[in-house]
Amino acid sequence: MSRLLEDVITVAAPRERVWQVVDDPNALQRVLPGCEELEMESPGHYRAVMSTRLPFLTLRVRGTATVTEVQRPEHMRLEISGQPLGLVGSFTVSVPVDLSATDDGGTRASYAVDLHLTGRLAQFGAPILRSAVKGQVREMVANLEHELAKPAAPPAGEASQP
Amino acid sequence: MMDGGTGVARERTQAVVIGGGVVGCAVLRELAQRGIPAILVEAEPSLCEGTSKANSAIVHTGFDAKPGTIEAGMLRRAAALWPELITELGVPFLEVGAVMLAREPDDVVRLKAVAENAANLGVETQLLDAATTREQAPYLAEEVHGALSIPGESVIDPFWLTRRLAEAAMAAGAQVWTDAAVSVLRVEADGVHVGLADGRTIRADQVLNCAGLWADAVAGLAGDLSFATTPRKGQFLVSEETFGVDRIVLPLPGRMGKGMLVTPIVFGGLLLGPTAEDLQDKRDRGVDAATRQQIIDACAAMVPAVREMVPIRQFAGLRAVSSTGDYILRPSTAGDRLFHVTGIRSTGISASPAIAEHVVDEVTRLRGWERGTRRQAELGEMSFGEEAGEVVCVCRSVSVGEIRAAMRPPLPATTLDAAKRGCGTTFGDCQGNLCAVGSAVVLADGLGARPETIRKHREGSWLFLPGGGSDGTVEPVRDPDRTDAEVVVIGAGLAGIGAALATLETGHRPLVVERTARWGGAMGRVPDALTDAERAALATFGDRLAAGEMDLWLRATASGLLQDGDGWRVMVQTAHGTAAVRTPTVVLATGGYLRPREHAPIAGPRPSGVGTADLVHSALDAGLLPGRVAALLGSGRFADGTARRMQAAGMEVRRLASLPTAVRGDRRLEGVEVGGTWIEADLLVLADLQHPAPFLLRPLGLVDNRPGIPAPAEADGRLPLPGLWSAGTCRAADVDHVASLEDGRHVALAAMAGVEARA
Repeated sequence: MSRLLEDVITVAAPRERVWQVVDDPNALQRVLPGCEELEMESPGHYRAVMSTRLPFLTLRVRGTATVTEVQRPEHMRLEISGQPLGLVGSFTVSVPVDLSATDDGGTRASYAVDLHLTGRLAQFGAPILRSAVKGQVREMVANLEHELAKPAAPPAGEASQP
Repeated sequence: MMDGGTGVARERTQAVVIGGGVVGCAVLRELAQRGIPAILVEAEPSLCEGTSKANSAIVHTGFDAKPGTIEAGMLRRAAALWPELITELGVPFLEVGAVMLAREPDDVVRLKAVAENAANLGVETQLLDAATTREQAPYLAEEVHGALSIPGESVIDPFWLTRRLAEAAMAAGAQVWTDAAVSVLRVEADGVHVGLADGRTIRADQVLNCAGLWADAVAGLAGDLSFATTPRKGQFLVSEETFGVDRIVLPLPGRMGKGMLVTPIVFGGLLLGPTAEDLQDKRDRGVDAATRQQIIDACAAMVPAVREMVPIRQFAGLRAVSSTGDYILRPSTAGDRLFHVTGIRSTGISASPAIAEHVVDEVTRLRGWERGTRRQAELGEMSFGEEAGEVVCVCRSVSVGEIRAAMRPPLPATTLDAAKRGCGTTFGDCQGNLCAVGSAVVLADGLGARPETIRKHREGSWLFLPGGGSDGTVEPVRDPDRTDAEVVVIGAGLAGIGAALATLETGHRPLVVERTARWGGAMGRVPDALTDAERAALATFGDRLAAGEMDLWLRATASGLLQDGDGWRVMVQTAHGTAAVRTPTVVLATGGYLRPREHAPIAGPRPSGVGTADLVHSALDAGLLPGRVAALLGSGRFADGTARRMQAAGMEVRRLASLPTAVRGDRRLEGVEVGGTWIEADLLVLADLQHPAPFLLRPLGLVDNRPGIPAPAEADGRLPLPGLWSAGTCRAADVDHVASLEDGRHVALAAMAGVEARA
C-alpha cells in the first residue's frame, strides 16, 4: 500500500446525510466514479463493475466495494478491490475517512487514499494509474457534494415503492 | 491495380508519404483528414523503426528554442495543437513538468535568461529558489542553487503515438504499406513516379519526403543533392527504479544541445541520457561501456541516487541533423512535386502536429488542391478482451490477450520488436530471454505461421530455426480448481520441489504453481548435471504427484500477493483466467533469470541472436533451435549442461573465457569479441551470472525495482511479512543452484514449524 494523497473537504450537510449516502446502494453507485453496476451482497458489502477512463484506454474492472471500520458517526473506511478485465493483475484502493461536524452544521471529512497494485497494473503505468486514481477521487468528492445537495432519499426499502 | 502484362501492382494516388516515423504518420493523418487520398510507404516491416523509437519521448514546450527558427515556430504552434490531439488519439501522456537546474551560483543568472527566452516564446516557467527546489524535488543533489520549473513539459509513449497517428489516417481513408522501400523516384511535370524495391509502382501528384535520417538518400534518388542528413547518436539507459524522480530533470544547456536528462517514462521507470555524438554511419546504433558510465555520472550529478542504478537496457537512437542546422521544410530542387520534411533533429515528436499542418498547407497551395472540410473518422479505442489469458512476459505480466491486442488491425504487429512496442512484452528486466519464445509462439499462432518465421525486425533478423529436440507440444492447462491451500509454493524448480517434499513430510498438502510447462526449473533442463540427491528428489516429486498427494499447476503464473487477514491471497493466472488462492503460508521459490547482455557493458549493435541460457532452454523446450553456432559464457555445471544440451540438438558450441567486450552483426549476430579476438557465432549465450527474480515482492515494497535485488529473507527464509517465506536462488543468486534443493527443504520446515506453533 502506498499513500497516494491526503486531503480535507468540507460539505454543507450534516454527518447523518453523509451516512445515508453510504448506506444507500443507489446513492453510492451515483457517487462512485464510473460505476456501471452495484449490487449489495450484505450491508456494507457491494459487488461492482466500474470503469476507469485512462487517457488512452478505458479500463473496466470487476470488484467489490466494502465499507469497513464503521464507527458512526465519525469514522469509516471504504475499500474497493478487484481485477481489470483483460489484463493480469489486481488493485486495492483504500480510503479511510474521518468525519467531524463543523460549527455551521456541515461536515468536515478528512480522508486519505492508499493504493496497492499487482501484476500488469503494477508494471504498466503505475504513474498513469496513480494520476487516474487521483482524478477519480476528485470526481468521487464532486459526486458526493452533488449527491448531498439533493434532498435526502426516503429510507432504504421504500425507495422502490411506486 | 495490377498491370495485366507484368503482374506488378501499379497504384495511382494524390499523395505519397515516404517514411513511417512520427513525422510521416502525422503528415499522413493530416492529408487523410483533409480528404486527400494518400499512401505511406515504409521500408521496414513496421512503423516507428527509426529516430521515432529511440528518443527521450518528451513533448517539449520549446521553452529553450532559438527564436526566429522554423523549429521555434513549429514548437509553439504544436503546443496549441497537442491537447486536442491527445484526446483524439488516446495516447499515454503525462504532464510531468521539468526542472532545469542551477548547479553553480552563476547559473541562476543563466536560468533567468532561459526564463526570459521562454516568456518571449509564450511558454510559462517559474524560477525556484534552492529551498523550494529541494522541497519539490528532494531527490536532487544538495548543491543545487535553484531551478527553472517548466510545468508544461510532458512525456508520451512514442510507439503508441506513431501507431495511433497512422490509425487515425487509415480511419480517414489513407493506406500504409510496410516492407516498401523506395528505389526509384522520378519527379516529372505532371506527377511523380515512385518505384519500390519489390517492383510495385505508385504514380502520385505529390510526394512528401519524411524519411528522417535517410531523407538525403531519398532526395538523391530524384537527383536532388541540395542537403545532407547526418546522424547524431544519442545513447540512453533505462532504469526500472525511479528513485522517486517524478519530473524531467535537466541541466543548463551546453554546446551540444540540452545535455543529459533524467526523464520519467510514461509507463514507469526512468530514461537517462541522451549523449550527442556526431557520426557519418547511418546504421551505427551501437552502444559502449564508457558512454554508459558517462551517462550515469552526468545524471548522478543531478540525482545522486542514480549512481545506485542497474540499467536494464542501453540503447542508441540517431537524430537526423540537416546540413542547414534547422528543419528543412521546402520543395525539392528537382521540382515542387517532391517536398522535403526533414532535419527534425530532436524535436520530431513535439513538433509533429505543427509540421504536418504546415507542410500539408504548403503542398495544398502548390498543387492547387481544394481545401475541403476536415473530417475526423471515429477512432476505435485501444481495448482488451474480457480474459487476459496466460502470462507470457513474466517480468511485466504481459498476457496472451495483450499480445493479441497488439496484433489487431489495421496495423498488426508481425515482428517481435513490433509486438514489444505494441504491448511491452520482452521489455522488462530479463529483456525477453524468458518470454521471446512465448511471444513468438503467440505471434505465429495469430499469423497462422510457424514460430521460426517470426523475426526480431527486418529480413535477416531471424530468431529461431526449426528442430530443437522437443516436438514443442505441451500439456493442456488444467483449470485451477482450488481456492485455498495449506501452503502455496511458487515455482517448481529445485527449491520449490525441496519445499513441497518437506511440506508433505510435515503432514501438510502443498499447492505448487509453476509458470512454465514443466517442473524441475533451470536445472531440470540439464538433468545430466544433477547430483544423485537432486535426481532422487525429482523422482520422488513425480511419484508423490502421481499418487495425488499434492497439487501442481503448470503454466500457472503467480501475478500478485495480497495480504488477506492473517494470511495471503495468491493471484494465479492461467489460460483459464485468474484464480485467487487463500493460504496462511507462501513459499516464494521463483528462482532467477540469467543476466542478459543489456545489463552488462557489452559494446556494439543490437542484432538478434544475443541472449542467455534461459532463452536457449525455452527455445529447445518449444522445438526450436536458437542458433547454429553458440558462443557460451559460464563455467559451472549449469553452463556445462547447457552446452551439452545444445550439442545434442545439433548446435556447435564455443566456450568463452570471459564476458565479451563487443558484439557485431547488423541483423543477426555474426561474432563476439573476447580479449581482443573475434569469435564467429550466430548466438551469444550468457550463463555466467544469475539475478534473483523476486518480482512478486516489488508491489509489497520489500524490494525496489532494480534488477538483481534478492528477496530480503532471514537465515531461515522468513520475509518481513508474516506467513511469507522465500527459498532458493530468489533469495541467494546462484547460477548452479547448488543449495536450492536443501534450502527449499529447510525453509519449508521452518515455515511449517511456524504454522504448528500458531496452531
